[in-house]
Amino acid sequence: MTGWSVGALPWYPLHFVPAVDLLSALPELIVGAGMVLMLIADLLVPPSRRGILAVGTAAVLSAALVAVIWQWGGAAHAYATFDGSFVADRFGLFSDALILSTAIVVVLLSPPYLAGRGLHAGEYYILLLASVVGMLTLAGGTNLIVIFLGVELLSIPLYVLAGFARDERRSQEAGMKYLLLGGFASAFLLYGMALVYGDTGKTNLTAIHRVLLEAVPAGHVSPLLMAGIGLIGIGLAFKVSAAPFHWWTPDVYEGSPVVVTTFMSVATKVAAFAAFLRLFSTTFGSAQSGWTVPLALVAIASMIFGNVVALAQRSMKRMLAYSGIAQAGYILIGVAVGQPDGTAAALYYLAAYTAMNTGAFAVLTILSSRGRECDEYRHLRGLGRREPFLAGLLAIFLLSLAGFPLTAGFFGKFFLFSAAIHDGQVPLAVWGVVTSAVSVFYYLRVTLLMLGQAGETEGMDPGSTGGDQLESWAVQTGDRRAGWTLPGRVLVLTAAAATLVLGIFPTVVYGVIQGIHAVTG
Amino acid sequence: MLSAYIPLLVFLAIVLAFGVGITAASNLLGPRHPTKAKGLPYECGIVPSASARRRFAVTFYLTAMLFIVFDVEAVFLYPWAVLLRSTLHLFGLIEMLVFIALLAVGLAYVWRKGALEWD
Repeated sequence: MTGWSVGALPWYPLHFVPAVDLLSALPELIVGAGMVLMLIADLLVPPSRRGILAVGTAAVLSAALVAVIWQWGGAAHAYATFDGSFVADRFGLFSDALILSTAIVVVLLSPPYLAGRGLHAGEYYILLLASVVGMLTLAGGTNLIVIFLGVELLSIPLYVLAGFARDERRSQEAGMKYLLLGGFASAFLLYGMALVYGDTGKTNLTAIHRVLLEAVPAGHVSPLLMAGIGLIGIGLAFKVSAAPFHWWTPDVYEGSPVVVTTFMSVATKVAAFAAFLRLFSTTFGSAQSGWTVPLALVAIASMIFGNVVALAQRSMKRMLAYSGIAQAGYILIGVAVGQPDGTAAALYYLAAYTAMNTGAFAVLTILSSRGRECDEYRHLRGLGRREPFLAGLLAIFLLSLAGFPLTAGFFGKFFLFSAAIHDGQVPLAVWGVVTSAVSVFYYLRVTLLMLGQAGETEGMDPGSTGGDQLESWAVQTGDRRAGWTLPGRVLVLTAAAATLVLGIFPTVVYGVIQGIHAVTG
Repeated sequence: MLSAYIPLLVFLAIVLAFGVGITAASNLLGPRHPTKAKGLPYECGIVPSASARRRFAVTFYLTAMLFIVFDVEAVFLYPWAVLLRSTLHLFGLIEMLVFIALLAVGLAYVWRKGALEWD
């Protein structure tokens, strides 16, 4: 074991205080301490210089990312801490890296956007950091209580962030809806945990795993335990916005400021899927025959519902929300298939999803940094001529989401579908392919729209208004350089590069992921 | 395993039956002489001055929320203080100092942002 263990120090009796290896929770500690520092900084920094807070927050997140990379080297065999309640294994660290990367992108893109909408407050960064602590905790939690703590810590700041544009009714509505439905989901999750605890008498995942290992072959799995597993699944399905638990997603994504939507749609999903995979593939793995069919049905429902309803959208955020529901369905295939292929494929897809979805939202953020939310399809019409570079990047991200070859999405889907076929779950792969084909239509539609002329009115688009208003939108957005800052440029290009690398050299990342499996503590 | 919960179920049934029974009995058997004063909502014996369904200043809500935060801190401090010398020792002291420091930062934040001002 690397690092110093407080448990070895003599000044308290070992039986009372659990062995605490603080170094294995280093990323969480860095982000948590950083949050307190930013809170103090917010009191000292004058409002006109809030950009400093963004830089500080990004520095904190980068330090945590460095800590994650440093831990990766030592985590060949994962080490547990806090009495087996938390683990720094490569599975959790991989998720941590994705969460932190997304957060860094969001933070660096935020200042011009927030300033443009008059929302630039220090609390934004503090809440974001608090939410990141929750996500990191969730990804490494190996105790039901720690997992619940992670879920709450990631959700509560997000409720506030969703309503951050507090003068706008849409944003208020988003915050309220997310709070109510998020609370509802937490109740499901907690009730499920209570039932699992009631049956097994344990909250530690390793202990629960052991109970299941004995109970399953003997045929002694009680209905209470299965009900608990089912309710936990429902609670997590809310968080990853899988159908039929997705109803909050489009409204919340649409109403929230676009930077918050970016963070919510990517980082939350990665963290929740990390917990999903750890719980279902590892802890409840031996009871797989009991939950794999319902889970597969949820996956199929998400793929069908997300992709079909996305066809009818006229708003980028709503389209990406429904696309996110569909993507959750794809990733659930990995959970339903289970270890080891399913987990690896799901992690690969999460990496791809992080690159392409963060990228797509980042382009929207840059376009929205000019004082008005760039959300409706008509705002994008003719973007290819006005700003060919941004339009080209957005096209790459959208094609990747559709799963075109040479992009990350293609291999993401390939690994998931082939894992399903190898596992004998052919219907999952078939529905995945069919719904992917449907999805090509709406991604390509936006791509083609960007190539059109700004003034064109299209017969198939009843929401479009006359050319005059479109021109005035283009004029109002006047300053094309706004939002197109150096960090913005670097980050969007990085996301595009990651999307292409994952699509052209899949083995670079897949080779790393393949050996990973979620440890239970 | 589940049979261990049967006493709890019996207890629940008795509680329900007792509560419903007492309420029903006093409603059915008790004499009733309603007067205006008896019909008033009971608020520590003080005569109500207005309807309870009126708008309150949001400051009450903020103050109540801040109170709960520091109230919970006090709740944590009591068992900690009892156990500090016997079991927790230096480890417990450091842990509690970290906890209080975090709350102190919160207090400084609340103060500086003006949330402690009534207007």
